[in-house]
Amino acid sequence: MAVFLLRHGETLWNRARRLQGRKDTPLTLKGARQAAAMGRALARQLGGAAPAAFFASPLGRARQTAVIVADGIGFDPEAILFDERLAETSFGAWDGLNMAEILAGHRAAWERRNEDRWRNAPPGGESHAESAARAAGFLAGLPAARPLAIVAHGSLNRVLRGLWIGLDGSASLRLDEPQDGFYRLEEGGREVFVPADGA
Amino acid sequence: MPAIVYLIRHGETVWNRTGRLQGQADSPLTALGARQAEAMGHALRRALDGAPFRFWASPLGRARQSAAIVADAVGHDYNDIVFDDRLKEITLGARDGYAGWRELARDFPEEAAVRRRDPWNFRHPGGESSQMVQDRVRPLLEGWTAAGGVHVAVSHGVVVKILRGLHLGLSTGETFALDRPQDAFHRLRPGAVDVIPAGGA
Repeated sequence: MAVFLLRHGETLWNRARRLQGRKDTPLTLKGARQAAAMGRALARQLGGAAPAAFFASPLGRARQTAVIVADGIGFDPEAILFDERLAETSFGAWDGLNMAEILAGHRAAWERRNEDRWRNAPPGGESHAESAARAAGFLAGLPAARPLAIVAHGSLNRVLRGLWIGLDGSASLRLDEPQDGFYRLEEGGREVFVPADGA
Repeated sequence: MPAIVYLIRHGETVWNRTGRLQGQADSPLTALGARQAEAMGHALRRALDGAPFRFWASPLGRARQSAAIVADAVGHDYNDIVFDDRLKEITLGARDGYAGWRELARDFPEEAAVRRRDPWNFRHPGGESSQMVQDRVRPLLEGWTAAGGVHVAVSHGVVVKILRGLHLGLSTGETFALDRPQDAFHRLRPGAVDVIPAGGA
């Protein structure tokens, strides 16, 4: 069995194309349905097995998604383990902003970051390299038992998958961030996308 | 135009299911709770039948999440929701998040005895009495009535009971005896309260 890596369902700021980072907004109706659909798809993957452990980011949108997914697979939501290392990459001063607002108010910082998107952090925020370091710490501490379920975030999941499948930084930043399915991480550095239909 | 007020309680939460006392602490909606919010949103859309309305909500997480789902179901912009602290749940102060009523009575028998003698005015340490909640929501209800038109409010079990009791002029005992459904909501109109079943959750 494998490690199942899920992203939270669509939120209000996802829909409005605003960076969330460490800030938070509720799931939309679509996001709540996506979470339920991912729960059903995960139940099919598990085929009746219970996860040996269920980890989630402590941010609200991940907590809410994790509970809906846990209900979908019959896992006690109160047994979910919240781990700060799964929190979304912080965009610092850009948390909550859309692209137009970043370019209008932070153009120089935006250009500086783009010189090395892996290592350069937004003002007051975290670089992807820094969030990869905490993701690596999380992975190193994972229990050996399988299957495992993890609910986290778009940027954090990209770097976590990059570590799992052995990509360099810039390649991991080209990975997708789906909310209508999730990734099954297999031993030997492989990943398989699992679609969640009917969201 | 006389006021019509739709009062919606948030969907089922993890702590609702386990019996833990939430007060102004919070836990996420369960899968059932998210479906209940969606079902109440669809039923609200049918009840509104296109009428313009103002959307109010408690700022606590479970109410925000329920309001976001209801807003999508009725086609209302979440950013236009008025979050009003007066719609927050009654707080049990130091007892918010406690395991349950039975555990509370077991661990604090003297407080439980005081509560039994006058439940309406009882306050947990640092908490609110039902009377204090009634005092904070009364101006809200009077404001809706004075403004007229249609108002939707997503709030909590105790607050919705107290608003219904105020509207109907119920006694404190009658107000305590009201139900707190999550698969139906209430409509206040002059002199009456209707139950609107949501179903389909």
